[in-house]
Amino acid sequence: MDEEPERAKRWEGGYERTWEVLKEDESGSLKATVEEILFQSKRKRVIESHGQVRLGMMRHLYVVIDCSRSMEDQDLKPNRLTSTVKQLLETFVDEYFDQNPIRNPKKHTAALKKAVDTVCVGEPSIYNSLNLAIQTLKHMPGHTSREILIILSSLTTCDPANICELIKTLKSLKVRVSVIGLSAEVRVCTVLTRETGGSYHVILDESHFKELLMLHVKPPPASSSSECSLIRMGFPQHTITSLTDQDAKPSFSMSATPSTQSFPLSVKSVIFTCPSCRSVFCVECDLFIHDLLHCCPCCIHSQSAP
Amino acid sequence: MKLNIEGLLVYFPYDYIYPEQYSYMLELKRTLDAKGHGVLEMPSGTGKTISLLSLIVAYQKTFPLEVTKLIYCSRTVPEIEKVVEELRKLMEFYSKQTGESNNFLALALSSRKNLCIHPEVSALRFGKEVDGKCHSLTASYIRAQRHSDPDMPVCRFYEEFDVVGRQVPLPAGVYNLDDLKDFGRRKGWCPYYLARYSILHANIVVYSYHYLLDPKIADLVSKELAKKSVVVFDEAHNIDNVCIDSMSVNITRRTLDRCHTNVDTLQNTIQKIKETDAVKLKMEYRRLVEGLKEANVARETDVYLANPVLPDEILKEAVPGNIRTAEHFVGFLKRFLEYLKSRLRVQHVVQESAPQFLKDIFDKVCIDRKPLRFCAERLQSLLRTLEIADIADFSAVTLISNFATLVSTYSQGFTIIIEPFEDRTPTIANPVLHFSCMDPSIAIKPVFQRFQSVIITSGTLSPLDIYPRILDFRPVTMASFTMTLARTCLCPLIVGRGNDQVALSSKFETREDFAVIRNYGNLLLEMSAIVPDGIVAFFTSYVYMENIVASWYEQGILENIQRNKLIFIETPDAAETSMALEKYQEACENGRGAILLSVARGKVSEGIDFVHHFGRAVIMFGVPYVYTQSRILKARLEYLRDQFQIRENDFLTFDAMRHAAQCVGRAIRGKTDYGLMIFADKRYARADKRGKLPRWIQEHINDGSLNLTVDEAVQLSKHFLRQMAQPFRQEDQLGLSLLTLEQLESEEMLQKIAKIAHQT
Repeated sequence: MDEEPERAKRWEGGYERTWEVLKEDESGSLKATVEEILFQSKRKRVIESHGQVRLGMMRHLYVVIDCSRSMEDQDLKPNRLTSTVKQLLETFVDEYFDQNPIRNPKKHTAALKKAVDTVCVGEPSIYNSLNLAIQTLKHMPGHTSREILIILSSLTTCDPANICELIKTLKSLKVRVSVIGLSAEVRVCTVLTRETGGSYHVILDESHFKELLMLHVKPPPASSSSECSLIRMGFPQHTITSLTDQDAKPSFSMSATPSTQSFPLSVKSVIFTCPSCRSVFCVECDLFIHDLLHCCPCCIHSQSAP
Repeated sequence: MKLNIEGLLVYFPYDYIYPEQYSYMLELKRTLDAKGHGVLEMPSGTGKTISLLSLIVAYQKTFPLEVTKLIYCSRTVPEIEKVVEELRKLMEFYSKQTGESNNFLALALSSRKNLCIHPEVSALRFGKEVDGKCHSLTASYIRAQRHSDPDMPVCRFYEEFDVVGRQVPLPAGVYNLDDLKDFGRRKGWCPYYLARYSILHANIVVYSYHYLLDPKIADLVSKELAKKSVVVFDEAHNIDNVCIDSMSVNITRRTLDRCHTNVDTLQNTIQKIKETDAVKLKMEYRRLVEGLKEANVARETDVYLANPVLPDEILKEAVPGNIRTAEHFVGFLKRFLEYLKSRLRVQHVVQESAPQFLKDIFDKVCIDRKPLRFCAERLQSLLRTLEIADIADFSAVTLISNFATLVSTYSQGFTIIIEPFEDRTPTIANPVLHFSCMDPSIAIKPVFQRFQSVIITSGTLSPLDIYPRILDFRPVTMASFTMTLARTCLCPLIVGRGNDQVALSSKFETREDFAVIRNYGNLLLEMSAIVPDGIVAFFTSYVYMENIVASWYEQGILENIQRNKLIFIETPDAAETSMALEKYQEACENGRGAILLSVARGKVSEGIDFVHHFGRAVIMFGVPYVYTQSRILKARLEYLRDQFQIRENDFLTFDAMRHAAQCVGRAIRGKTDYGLMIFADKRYARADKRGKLPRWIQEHINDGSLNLTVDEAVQLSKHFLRQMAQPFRQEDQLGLSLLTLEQLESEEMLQKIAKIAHQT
């Protein structure tokens, strides 16, 4: 972490040296490497995700944005508030509703657009914001997730009561609280997120901020204790079998020819199969298909989405 | 894990080891092999205690004849308890690995106040009261009187211990203070006397400095400890001051008044005894004629630890004739007392040496040097003879007699200063006679002479070579260890200028400067906005802190700071301070954030750790030079220059820097911890100051962090805090700053480890 010999000058700290990562391919083109970087980052998110776990589908997420005095700080350009709202508007809201397409993002976008002009004064209260969020979240049905994401810029919280009590309440209500800090690690947030099972991250710069926000796009693993009513859907199963299994017929792959011999996954024993048509997929295709369509491309034409 | 330290098998009760711990053990082993003394500096939070314990215990087990006992001296009761817990872990590991039950006896010893289980006595609040009450129940003549008068109060725990406790030794095991109390309750024995008796045959003793360094206590407790012991002074960066304090005497008018009452009581008791039991006094007289022969024999045969208050020469002689009888001695004390009273009636400051004082006392009241030297011993004998129960009441006269003995014994190394009033309140007469020890080696000399190996260790001992000089001993090893880090978790910054380019400094000329105070305020304000949770700020003195805080209040800076964090202030009052500390920690805990304003050399700077969120930044406002106008200090500096060739400036800087290092070191208490260290004074950038910081801090100060402005410091801090907030797991440390056994044994790592220790 402390190996940053490249950061020669203090004022260069905030900049990404994107040019240093770039390399030309044989033909002198940069395109391949840029794509590689994008792919890597997208892939990272998938690989780093939890193995085979059940994800909660119905999500109730409150995003709390700190609008205290410290949001005026200009270490994110032009200032923390504008930058935060921009990040949320440009990437988070869209991605979120893309992955969790149950509601319409319009209302949220409108609210965020209005928030840009907020005048930031005073000190924040984590207690009050959590309390407000709880009022609605506690009425949500048990099979859905209850989440709060706080984007906190200030390092202090002026609370009307002891926050430890509230943390216990949150825990008993199974509300997951995650925090993204814009300045430094605050103890109470560490405790809050640890106790409620959320995550706590502190940003390094804008791009890291974006990355951290993206972590919250994916639904969190559903807790085993939550009551559930399962609906059968066409997700492929992630199985560990060899391809000798006669029933499993390799489907088309976007990147490889659909023959068993040259199929890139034949060497590996980890495959995905669709439970209704038994088609096999490789990781890459699977990634793209399921991000958007949420069902198997073989079945999608033969029947309406399962 | 089991380690091989140059052929010695060392059991280490953890699965992982820090490289510096290994290096530390190597140096320690070499010191023990050479049977010499050592000075070792290793940063706090790197497991100094367990390294010391593992190695010395292994040494004891392997060479039971070479090292028979470990005497571990620490400063406070919580620290003592911590050491015992580490020891317990080690012993459990031993028995798990070897399968044998443990045959080591290790115990902690503390004052009666912490060990008493008598229902009434232990309920008393002050240590002195407990001691006095205990003495009034357990003194030998009280118990003798009880034979004739069974109605007298009794401590059944002591009686029980006296009857059977000495015959059966304490079973092997590790005992902390509570364990001792439990054991005492179960058996019905007095835990204090049990512990005091058991340290004679225990393998490991953990107790406070004073039990070895304060001659009054050492004489009672540690006199008979085996010569082949290893003595460890932990947190020893202030050891010279402890030595000096234990040998210095301050006499005020109140002391003299109380002493006067004491002497009257003595006289009355003597009168009474004379009427009832004249034989007793005669017996005492005869004993005194015989002299202190017994003590002399014991010392020559090397059974006892020497007592610096009881110089060798007087042991060979009999008590001089003019103070042998009890009445004469009381008369002598009275005369001495009157003389001291007359000396306190001064209008101006007097400073003189011990010989001058002796000459003056001879001229004025015809008191010779010789009887003065026997004063302490003679008083003890008298108190024993008179069978006075409550010794605590006689502290005043004991103090005076100790003073008499010391002043007549040491012609060098002490100075007498009589001040008619305090410097701060020149109108209020409050005369004080300081009999001040200037040479710390006097108190510690018997320890170095008696024990085979003495290890002085702490997190901040730089520069190492000054300790052997002022304590007057010759170490065989002197080493300073750095902290190997997987991430740079400390960030020392030297802020030399304000944003308006005003030089920041606490030096005398600019102390009242408005611009400096404003810039200091600005620094704290900016920091309070960017540092999470707790900030500890240190000032050079209470007066300076008061001035600055008052000025900040007028300028409205305090109000602005309070928007970010709550402010707490350390005061000279211990109860108030601990209250402030408690609230400070609460504020850090629940997210409000807090600032603790405290004073270098105060209680907070020495004994309180600010782990993790309790101290994310330490700001040192100014260089904590000691108050240089003090006459005691001036005398000491002069002495150091004449005797040890240490220049005033060198010593003052050394003293200031060790306190600064102590203060800033409060924030980093381990490798997973992180914190900012902000030195707000431009003088810190100078090589002579910077060079005296411990190596583990120094190596993180680069040219880019010297002489910063407030804004630059804020930028660096922001970056640092964000870096540190990133997730940090144990795996990140493994192989770099945390080693498994295999990693430790690799050739490459051993070479690296060799570089950690820095010999001087």
